Amino acid sequence: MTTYIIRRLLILPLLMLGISLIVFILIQLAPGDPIAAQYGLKLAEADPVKIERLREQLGLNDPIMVQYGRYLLRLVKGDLGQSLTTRTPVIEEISSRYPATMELAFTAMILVVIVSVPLGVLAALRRGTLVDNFLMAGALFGVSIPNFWFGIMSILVFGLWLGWLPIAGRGDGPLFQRLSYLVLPAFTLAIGLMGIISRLVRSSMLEVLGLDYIRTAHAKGVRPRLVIVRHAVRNALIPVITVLGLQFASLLGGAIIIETIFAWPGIGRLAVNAIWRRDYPVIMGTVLIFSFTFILANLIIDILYTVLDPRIRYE
Amino acid sequence: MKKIIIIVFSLLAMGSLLLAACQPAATETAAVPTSPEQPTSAPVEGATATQEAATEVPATPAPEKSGGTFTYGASAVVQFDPPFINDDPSFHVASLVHVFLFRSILSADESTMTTIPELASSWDLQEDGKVVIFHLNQGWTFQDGNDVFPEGQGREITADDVVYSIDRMVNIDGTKSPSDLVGGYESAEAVDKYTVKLTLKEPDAVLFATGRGLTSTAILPKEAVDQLGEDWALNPIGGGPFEFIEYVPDDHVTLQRNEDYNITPYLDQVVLKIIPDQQVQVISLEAGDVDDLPSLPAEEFDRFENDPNYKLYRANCPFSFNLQFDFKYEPFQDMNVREAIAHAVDGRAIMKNQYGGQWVDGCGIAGPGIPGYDPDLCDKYFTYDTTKTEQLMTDAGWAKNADGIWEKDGQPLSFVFEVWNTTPAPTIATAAVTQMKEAGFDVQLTEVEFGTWIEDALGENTQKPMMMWSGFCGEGGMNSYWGRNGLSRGWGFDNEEVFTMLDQANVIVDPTQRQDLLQNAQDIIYGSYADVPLGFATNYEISNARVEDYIVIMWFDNLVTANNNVWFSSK
Amino acid sequence: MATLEDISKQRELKPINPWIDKFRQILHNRFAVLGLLALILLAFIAIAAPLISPYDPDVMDLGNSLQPPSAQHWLGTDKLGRDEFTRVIFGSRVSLVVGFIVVGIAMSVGVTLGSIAGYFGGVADNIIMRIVDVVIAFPFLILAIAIVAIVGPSLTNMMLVLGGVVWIDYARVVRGMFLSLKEEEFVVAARVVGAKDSRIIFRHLLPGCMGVIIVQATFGIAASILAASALSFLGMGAQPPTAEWGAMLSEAKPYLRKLPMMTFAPGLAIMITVLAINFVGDALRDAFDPRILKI
Repeated sequence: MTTYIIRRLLILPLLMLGISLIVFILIQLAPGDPIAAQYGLKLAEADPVKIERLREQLGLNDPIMVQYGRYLLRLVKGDLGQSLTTRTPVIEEISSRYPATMELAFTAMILVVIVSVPLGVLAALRRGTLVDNFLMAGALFGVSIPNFWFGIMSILVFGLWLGWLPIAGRGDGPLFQRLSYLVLPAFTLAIGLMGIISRLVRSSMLEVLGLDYIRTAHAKGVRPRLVIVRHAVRNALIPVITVLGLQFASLLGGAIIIETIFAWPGIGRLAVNAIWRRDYPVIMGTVLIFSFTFILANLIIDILYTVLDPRIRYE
Repeated sequence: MKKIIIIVFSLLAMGSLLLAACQPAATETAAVPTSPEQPTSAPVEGATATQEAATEVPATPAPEKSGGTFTYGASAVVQFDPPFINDDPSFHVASLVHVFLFRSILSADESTMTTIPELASSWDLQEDGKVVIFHLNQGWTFQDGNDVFPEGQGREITADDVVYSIDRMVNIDGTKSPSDLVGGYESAEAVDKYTVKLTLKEPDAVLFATGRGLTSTAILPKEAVDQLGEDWALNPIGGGPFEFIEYVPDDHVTLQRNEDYNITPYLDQVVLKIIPDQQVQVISLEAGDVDDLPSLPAEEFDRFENDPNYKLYRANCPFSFNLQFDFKYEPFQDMNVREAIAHAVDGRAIMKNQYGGQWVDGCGIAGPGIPGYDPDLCDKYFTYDTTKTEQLMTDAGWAKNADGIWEKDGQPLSFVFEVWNTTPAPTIATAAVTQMKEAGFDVQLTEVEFGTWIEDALGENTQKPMMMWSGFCGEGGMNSYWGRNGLSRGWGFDNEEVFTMLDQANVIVDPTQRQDLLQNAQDIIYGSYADVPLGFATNYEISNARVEDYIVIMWFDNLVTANNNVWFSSK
Repeated sequence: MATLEDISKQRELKPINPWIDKFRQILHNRFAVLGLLALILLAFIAIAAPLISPYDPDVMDLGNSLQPPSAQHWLGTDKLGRDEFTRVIFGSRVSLVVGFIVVGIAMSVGVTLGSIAGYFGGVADNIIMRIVDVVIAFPFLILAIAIVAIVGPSLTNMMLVLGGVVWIDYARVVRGMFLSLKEEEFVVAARVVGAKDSRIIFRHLLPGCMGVIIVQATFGIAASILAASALSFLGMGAQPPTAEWGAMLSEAKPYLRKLPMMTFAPGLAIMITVLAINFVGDALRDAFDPRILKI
């Protein structure tokens, strides 16, 4: 199993390389000239000599491979370049906002687990009853609702009409002071995944409950509730963990829209603004960071998975 | 055993990711002042009429009006380096910050077309206005208490600084909207410690009416720019009434009173809260989280217009929206087609619909109050009349095909209309497009990002057949757009008569003469339907009623000038 | 003593058509029936839109902007005075078309590549799976936004981009099915007999996958509708003045306090559509799932 982990760790840089190449190519394909974008309104009046100088400075006249090579070298050193809009290092732009996004994503994940797992188990145990139907219908709603609409509606109800919660921004100070700002965005982000996971937990539980060893325990007269539920739940959760890991990417993607709606100062919003402004270094930086986070999270999930389920043997 | 290690490791990894997330909202403090008046790190929200407990009594005896934090609701802040401040789509906000942080050599009241001395206490003209000699005030200093100028050691502002700053502003690479000094600037020289000689290529009438780029050329300390290098853009140091304390990205900017400014500001602090959503801005204003919004959304205007708890400030600079034709697109080379389209769109109704109480009646590029304004332009050329459209198109040889679209020689009149995607441009464009479609023009509306739009507008042959255009209020606007070196050249506008007129107007100082020239120029431009002006609107700023002595002049809102010093009344 | 023939004649056992049988199973699920009815209604609305809407979706009434719901305008008017109710109706057209086209693209590409990967294995499989890995590693929305921002926002571009991302689901599913079915006896037998590869793929393997593909496609349509409305909400999809639910939501946002109905209606429309499709998809999945015993 250690070999498996080592292999996965080795593939990581290769995967990142592939991603960086794709992003680089995409940006080269983009129409429009970053220089023109910088000069904006007064391009017509600008001195062509100065423009050439700027081009040289940014290395835009060098062959593509050289530019890519340069980019990779800087990447290894941890230099993601400079934002075209603010002229600050991209690393700083990203690192100052990264905690905000992670806070949002993690809170959403925690919400999903806290809410969906018990509900899914409950639905499975009460299979076929009104509770089950109600919960599963609710889950389906969660999956079907457009999260940006849910966000706007919750702003309307909880922010504007009831005034219970703030509707934009992240607040200042330590976490426990800022919790009210976190509620709506995290919940909105979590709603879709909650639907998916509750359904998954339910079906997984049902499958496990139907398995032989559970039946045997039941037949033997082992105290039904606690023991069986505990055993069943633990085993039922195994496929759920994988799905959670896979869905983490969609959570990060969803964060982009949520951050825009709630003015959450995270990298999602940074990325959208950068894309609108053609701030290529920032775009590349955020995509790389997103991908890296996701791949890392997946790796951790995979490791946990192998730990929890000894039946899995990766060749 | 292995299992446990792996579990622990994974948990640690997750834990560290979590820890990274669970930090308090990070504050990036820069140039931390060491003065005893340093406020607590969290910006104080809301304003108090009494003096802050954290601030100490300044050297001069505190006036009764003193104290409080003035909070703006800003839609975006990008960075603070003056030549690049115009990059920010929220130009208004950027210029706010500029005025607080920095000094300029001149200030201007564009509503009265007069320049006001600032760093320069007086100036003389030589050689018919080609050379200007500025006499600087003495004893004015740069802000202290930061990384470059330790507390108590703010350096005096001298002629060298002025020369350096103007030179930097004009010559720096990569700025999006270079100072409009660029065209006329020749050289600047420090004659002695407090005298600056500015030489222009030609005498410039506008310079003495409104100051041109000199009002927005911040005087910077060279050593700060050099010392801070890359960090300069986010850690500005100037000579203005408020010092930069911190900028938390996407969250807020904090500025603090400059004790050494020659006028002691009443306010303790200025905070710009970054609130991108307009509705949230309004809610924050109502809740008291912010004191002022630089730009009131048009749909809220009616609600606040007569509310005694708020004050509205009207900008004296009506801006317009226009449909610009690209003359390279063949059908638009025929004036009849252009005129036909002009009559197919009810510009005034569209602008009125969009802006409500902020709408300003008129057509053209110079609005009411601006030299060159012609109140008859709308009725002369831009009536909403679809029968005229039909008439003109038929006369020009077009006929409607089976789909109801104008066609000539088998070619339907089908074109792209490009607009940028920030409110309210798309809505206005959509309205115009709907009307044009009704009249038989097959228009495809495309929304692009502002930067893309600019590229297309300015590139070689990248212009779309029709593009939305807006802005350019103010005196220099006509020249920048329709002048010899104006933007409209990119769309193929070429009228020597107009160019000559505008060149002349630049140099004539007499306002009546200028008015006539500019009015005639507009007549030619719009009589030939070079574009379709939809109309004007004006910006309103809003503050709560406790703000006193606040002056709004065009784009520069001043909290502290020779003529005003904002304070909070208690109510 | 009854013979087998007697009994069978009595029972009149008919040969079972698997498809009709599945359909009947689906009908037993109340939610699915609800969903199907909703979808039929939706399709009707989309097709008959011009006939059933009181106004033209693009007609402006500049003097009547931002009106609350009334007798003349059941859902009120938007900023340009256009009738919201009509626009919501017309929005169904865009959403349904987008859903089907995106899934159409994704299915063609995905099933093809998945079959190749699953059947031929080896290098082809490796390449295709690496591509899949890389596409998965991107947060989908960022990729979509970036590409659309680069190539220009339009409905067509958006559909292409979405199709270009969603195909991996089908590829993986088909590949998985092929891998497991490949070793089944009937396939081995066919190969021994000398059947051509294409024949094996189309006659033997693919039909076995139809079930999963259909289920995937159904959920795919729902997901595409959601994604398309999200992109249009950000301004990257349907361009004005097209009436599209996501775009309408974005237009309504500035007036959230004044006119909540403007935000409520299009969002509800999206949700109901997606919900209905998901109900049907659920039922389909249960119908095709070999593990659940159905009698």
